[in-house]
Amino acid sequence: MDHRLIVRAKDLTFGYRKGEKALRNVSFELNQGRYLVILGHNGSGKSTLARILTGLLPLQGGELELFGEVPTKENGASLTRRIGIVFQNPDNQFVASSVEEDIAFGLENLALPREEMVRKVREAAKMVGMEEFLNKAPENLSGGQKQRVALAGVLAMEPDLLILDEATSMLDPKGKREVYKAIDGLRQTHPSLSLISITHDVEEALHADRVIVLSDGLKAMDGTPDEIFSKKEELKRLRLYPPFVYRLSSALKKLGIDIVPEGDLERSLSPLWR
Amino acid sequence: MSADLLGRYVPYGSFVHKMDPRAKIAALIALMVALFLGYANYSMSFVMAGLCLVLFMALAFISHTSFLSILSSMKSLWFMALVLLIVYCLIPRSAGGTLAFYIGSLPIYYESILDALRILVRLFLMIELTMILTATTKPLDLTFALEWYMKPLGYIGFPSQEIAMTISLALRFIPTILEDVERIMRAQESRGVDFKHGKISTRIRAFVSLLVPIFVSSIMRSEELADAMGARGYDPRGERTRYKVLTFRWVDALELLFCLAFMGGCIAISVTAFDLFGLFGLTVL
Ligand SMILES: Nc1ncnc2c1ncn2[C@@H]1O[C@H](COP(=O)(O)OP(=O)(O)OP(=O)(O)O)[C@@H](O)[C@H]1O
Ligand SMILES: [Mg+2]
Repeated sequence: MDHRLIVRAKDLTFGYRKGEKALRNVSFELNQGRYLVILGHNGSGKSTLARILTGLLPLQGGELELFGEVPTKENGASLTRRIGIVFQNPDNQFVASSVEEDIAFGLENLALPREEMVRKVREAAKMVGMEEFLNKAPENLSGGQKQRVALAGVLAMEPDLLILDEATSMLDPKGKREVYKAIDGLRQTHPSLSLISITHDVEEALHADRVIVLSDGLKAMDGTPDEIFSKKEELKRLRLYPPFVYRLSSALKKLGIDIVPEGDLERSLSPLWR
Repeated sequence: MSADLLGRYVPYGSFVHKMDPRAKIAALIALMVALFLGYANYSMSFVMAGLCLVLFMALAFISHTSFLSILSSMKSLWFMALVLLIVYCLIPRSAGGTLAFYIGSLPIYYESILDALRILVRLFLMIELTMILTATTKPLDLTFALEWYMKPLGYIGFPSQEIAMTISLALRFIPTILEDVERIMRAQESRGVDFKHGKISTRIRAFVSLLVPIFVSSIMRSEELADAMGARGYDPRGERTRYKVLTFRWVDALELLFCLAFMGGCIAISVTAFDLFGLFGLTVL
């Protein structure tokens, strides 16, 4: 796999109002095909960071490179077009009055010919398992289904980087599972797709290649899931609760049993049976 | 909220439903012209209105739009009828007329009553026809058709595409915002706000307690929506293609032609001041 640099952010700083900073000196890099999770509490600046990456907010301070290029007035739109984002609220990103028209919305904006749109809408709907709902109106869909439509609308535009800004936080457990399943499938069929997932769910971070913790607009931690979740003291200071396997492993350690915590619970526990 | 809104789209497979919305709008205009033409006399006007009524009832029947339910839900029209009648009776008739009776010293003419009656019948039929249109056409298809008609205006800088987008977004968000209203109403009711009883002033206060959160939540929705649209590359001034296309079939042309012929016939009757009653030697109002 090619490990091209997809995002290079250096000292990103942003304030909505003078004197207040929602984001302060945040730096990170993301390679192609990698999965980055950004953790943080409410108001820590996660969405601000996402909005800067997608060009919805201007760059105020710091440097940003997307796909190896510095976004300018001329090429900005063509760079951010390669980035898709799914937001938190399933209702507020459903633009059209039916599933197929909503998936087509981004393609319409690209002024694609109709035949091409029809094909891409079908493909994208299939990727998220919504191909049987093409004619349905948003009122007749569950939250998880609406979020999958939002995902399909973004995927139809064939992005190189997908950002999920708390895309599952408003869904019930069933809806969450549906969306995670669609994303897992996507990562298998599209290994070159890079993923940034913004969340305050530590369990989700277990599956990432890399985790960044934001706190009050600052980057508080940065590392692999294992590096992050082994630092119990620091997590406590940031009011983050470690994922279940890590809590289990430290509880077992006190009983003298050693397991290696990782994303897959069964694999973590397998030494107990040997 | 009443799920049974007047003129709300009801899916059904009739040929009225399947008709191209652009053709439907053109047909609607043709039929309205026929309805509002001036005829030889009052009696002819009512005969022609009757003809329209028969045609509209047939349309309502074919499209499974309940004519009677529309009639019964137009209760508020009674008030308008009364106002119209009073207004027409108070307007002094310069052309004179046939005196019916006096109310006090105010002379009431048959013509005033007939004028009021005629405008009322026409309004009723116009509403009826519009209801058939909205009950058989998806709101978005209507927007689409309107956008098509506004297209020529786009060349002189009229923002027809933006207007169409605004209307379709508004239509898209009506159910969502109604859900908000219901949710907030329940929340306020659980805090003891009473929307249905009490003095006018308390009810107004209850209503304001509903308005503010609705306004705030709608603004928040619109901001997120703007972000979502922007992130998917929406540029109101940019060139866009459309996923949805309207197809004008030959049956649409036939149906439209029928309505145009109906209008043509009515225009002919109107300009020749044709009087059916005169044919039989009857003199009528
Ligand atoms: N449009 C805005 N105008 C002014 N201030 C804003 C705006 N959006 C966010 N902020 C402020 O910027 C800070 C960071 O907000 P941001 O939305 O990035 O946080 P977040 O980590 O995404 O939080 P959440 O988990 O609630 O989504 C917060 O203090 C917030 O109040
Ligand atoms: Mg956020």
